[in-house]
Amino acid sequence: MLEAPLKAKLDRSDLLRWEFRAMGTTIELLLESADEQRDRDALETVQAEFERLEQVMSRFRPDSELSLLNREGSMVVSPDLERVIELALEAREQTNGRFDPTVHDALVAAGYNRSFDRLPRERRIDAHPPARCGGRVTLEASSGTVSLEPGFHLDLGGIGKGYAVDRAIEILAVAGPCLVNAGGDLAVRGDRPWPIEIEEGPTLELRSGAIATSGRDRRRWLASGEEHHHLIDPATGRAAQSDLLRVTVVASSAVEAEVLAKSLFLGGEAETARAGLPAFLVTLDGRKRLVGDL
Amino acid sequence: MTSTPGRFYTTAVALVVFFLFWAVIAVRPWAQPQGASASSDPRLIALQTREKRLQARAISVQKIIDRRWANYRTALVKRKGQIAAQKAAQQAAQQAAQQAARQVVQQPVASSSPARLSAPAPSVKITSVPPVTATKTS
Repeated sequence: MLEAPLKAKLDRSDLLRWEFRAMGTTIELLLESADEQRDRDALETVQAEFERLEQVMSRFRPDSELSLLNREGSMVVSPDLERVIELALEAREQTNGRFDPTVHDALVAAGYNRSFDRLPRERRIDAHPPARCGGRVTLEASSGTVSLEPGFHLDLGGIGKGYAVDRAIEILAVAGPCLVNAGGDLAVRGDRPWPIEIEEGPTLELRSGAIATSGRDRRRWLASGEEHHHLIDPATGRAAQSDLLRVTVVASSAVEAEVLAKSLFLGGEAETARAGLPAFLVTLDGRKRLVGDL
Repeated sequence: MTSTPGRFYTTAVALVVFFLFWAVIAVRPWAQPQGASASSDPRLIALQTREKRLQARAISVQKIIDRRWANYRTALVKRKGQIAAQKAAQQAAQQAAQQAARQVVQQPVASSSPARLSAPAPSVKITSVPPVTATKTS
């Protein structure tokens, strides 16, 4: 049984706007409406898909498939979980380890051990040595078996949300031109321009592709007087020390945008500027830069 | 005329003459032929002329109606065919869309999944059009 959407209305006379809560954020769907009843069916299908994928990939749900894998250490997983883990491992390789799905323990050690909505903004945590990252993950494609190196657990928060956005846009695109925005992980599809406002930045017009933003300005908390945020540097096992406050990247898919945004955030301003990717970045000292083809 | 043969011939001739008269009277040679009298009446001639003209016109009108009816039936069959083709195309498109949606939802998530890495970045530009949504740090 689906929860009623937070918002379901025609916007700007031709866009059906649909909002609901999933994956710890507000999911926003926009669909160019041709047949309202049929479109509502498509929107409900997408909402159900988000909820299904959250049940697969949430590390905050003890009965999720990912939680079961983290407890068991090795098991046959569903095709969705297998694919996301495969993408995460591919991303780890391509970013030289800057993107790492085995940062779970580092996040927990930093105090991010429950859904961010339920996380106290200030709390005391015991001193701890840096958690190890870069754990070995073995994926047997023939049997769909995933095995984790003992002592390591997976966190698929960011890439899982990007994956859900890519799945959602595929489903919704059958009904017409559409946009899916999962709290900053955004994808568009369809033959129309989508003007999208970047936080503190310009409005970008995108016809297809995705946008993701990584930064230390949200999902941050105080623990024992020290500020923490959710972007862990796998090299240190601690919150990343970057000269960037936030970086927004445009890519072909939400998964890719998510991986690139996280990797470029860790790389810093100079590396982001050199990468040649369309991106908007805000530095810690408040400077704003458009790089790449923008 | 006292001889028997003489009386016999006289009677026979009288009978022949009688029947001849009868035949002549029966034919009524003094009466005018019916067609001759009709054709001579100008009102009848006018009516007959009008009747012929009307019959000719009726035939002409019927031909026009037949031709238009045939055209209409041809156009109707053609239009029905077009409607049926459009309906079939619409149903096929609808089924294809539903099938595509089902395939997307049910597709085993393999390497053909839309989520992939290292694809070229899409084209993007700055615009002054009012935004439909906004991004924030995820």
